[in-house]
Order: sequence, then structure tokens, then C-alpha cells
Amino acid sequence: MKNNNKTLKSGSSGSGAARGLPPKSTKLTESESRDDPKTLRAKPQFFYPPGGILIWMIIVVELLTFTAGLGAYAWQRSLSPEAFSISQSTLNITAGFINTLVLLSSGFFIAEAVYLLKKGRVRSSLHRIAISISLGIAFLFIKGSEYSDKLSHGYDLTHDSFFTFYWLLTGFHFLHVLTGVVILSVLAVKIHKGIYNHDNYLDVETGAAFWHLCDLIWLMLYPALYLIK
Amino acid sequence: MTKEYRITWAALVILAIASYSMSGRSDEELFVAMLSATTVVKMSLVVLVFMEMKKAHPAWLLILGGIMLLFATLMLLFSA
Repeated sequence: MKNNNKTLKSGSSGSGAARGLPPKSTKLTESESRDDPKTLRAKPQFFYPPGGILIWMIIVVELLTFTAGLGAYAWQRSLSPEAFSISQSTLNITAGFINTLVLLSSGFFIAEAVYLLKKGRVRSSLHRIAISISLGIAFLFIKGSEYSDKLSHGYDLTHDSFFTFYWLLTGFHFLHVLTGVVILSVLAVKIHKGIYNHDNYLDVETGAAFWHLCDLIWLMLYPALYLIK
Repeated sequence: MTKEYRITWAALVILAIASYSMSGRSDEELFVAMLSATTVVKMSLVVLVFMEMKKAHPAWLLILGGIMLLFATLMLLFSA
């Protein structure tokens, strides 16, 4: 981190050369220009969404998977609405609501973290990521308490159709949040070490996109499982 | 930009509170429609603002919008 700062300061006040970029006067070749994410970001191109195409392919597949799962859940519920309603009434709607606020706030902080990193405000960016990680852990804790409560009352995966869907859908999402917390922690360490900065932030954008995916999935799960009866 | 994020976050919180307050009456078809609509709006805000997709290629917006509409349709279809 210190070495990087020295390198930046020793250059001509943060010039392109000091940051590993070609001098402004040097024209990029066609292939160089094509491969530069910043050049590609100028015009919206299908293959270069924020965070890279790979994460967006994952996001689309994941959203489709959860939509299919929730569609199957809604179809099953339409076949035996009373049985589903009885099981659904055991869920803690307020805990789900708090978890919604927790994830939305976490998403807000990670969006700010990416923005601040792009602006070169590494310290502020790290603070936001730390808050996001803390909120992610809070989500896991609240959901874990809910799981513990359900298990203590015998509402496990095999209890009935509703709880089979509940455990599969929320359990899969729980694993996503857990993975997201690990990804954000790794990104925070690498930002702290100076590996990611205002010139090299694509991986941070990708990690943030994965974290927002957790938001999106929960935004679908909460009304479908907890609210619509 | 951070101001835009804050406004979006506030809007998301208000929509989440609105959804939560609808929970008691969600057995009615109209409220299922309203819940689905607020869910689509919340997801759109996250995608467009937090994930910065408003400047992305329109095909991405079509794909993501299609998934959100599919979700809302399924919820409405099987709760009717």
C-alpha cells in the first residue's frame, strides 16, 4: 500500500505513466483499444456490462432458477392453499422484514464502496465494505435464529411441502449470502493491500454485482414465501 | 452519485415498509398484484442504480425486465 502511494507520488502528480497507463500522447492500437474496459464502457456493449459478462450470465441463470423455484412453489400452493397457509403462518414476517432492510442497506453501502474506490477514496471505500460485510453477517445471524426456531419446533425439510420449498429456497439463498460475505472479505483485504484501486476495480465491481444478486433473490423470496398468502 | 444512491436506498426502504404493511391483507388479489408490482420496482431500482445497469446495453435490460415480469406473472397466476 505504502509502496504504491510512493509510486504514485513520485510520478507527475498521478500521471497515466505512474499508474501503468500509456502516456496520453501515445495512440492505442485497434486491438489495445478494443481490450481496454474503459474504452468499452464508453458505449453500452452487450459483452461488457458493469462487472463483466460472466457475472451477469451467472446473475441471469440464478434469477431464472429462483423464479422457476418460486413458480413451482406458487403452483403447489395453489393446489393446497390451506395446508400451505397453516405452515406459512409459522414464519416470522418481522424477522424477514428486518432482513430485507439489512440486505438493502448492505447493497447501498457496497454500491457506494465501488463508487468511492473508482474515485480513489480507498479508505472510505473500505469502511463501506466493512459495513456491508457486517450487515451480511447480521442477515446470516437473523436467518440462522429463524432456522434454529423452525428446527426446534420440528419444521424441517421433510415436515410438509411448504417447508421443503422454504428450506430449499431460503437455504440456497443463505449459502449465496455466506459466499458473498467471503467474497467481500477477500476484496476488502486486496483493496487494503493496494491490489485493487481506482485503476483496477473490475473484480470489485464483479464482487459487488454478486452481492446485489443476493439482494435481488431475497427481494423475490420475501414476498413470495412470507407475505403472499 | 452517492446522493443518487441515498435517494434510491430511501425509496427501497419506503417500498419495503409498504410491502410489509400489506402483509395482513395479502390474501386479496389486488394486494398480491400490488406486492408483485412493488417487488418489480425494488428489483429494478437495485439493478438500474446500485448495479449501474441503466447505461448497459438495452438487451440486458430486456432480459432482466423479462425475468422480473415472469416472476410477477407467476405470483399473480397461482394466487388468483
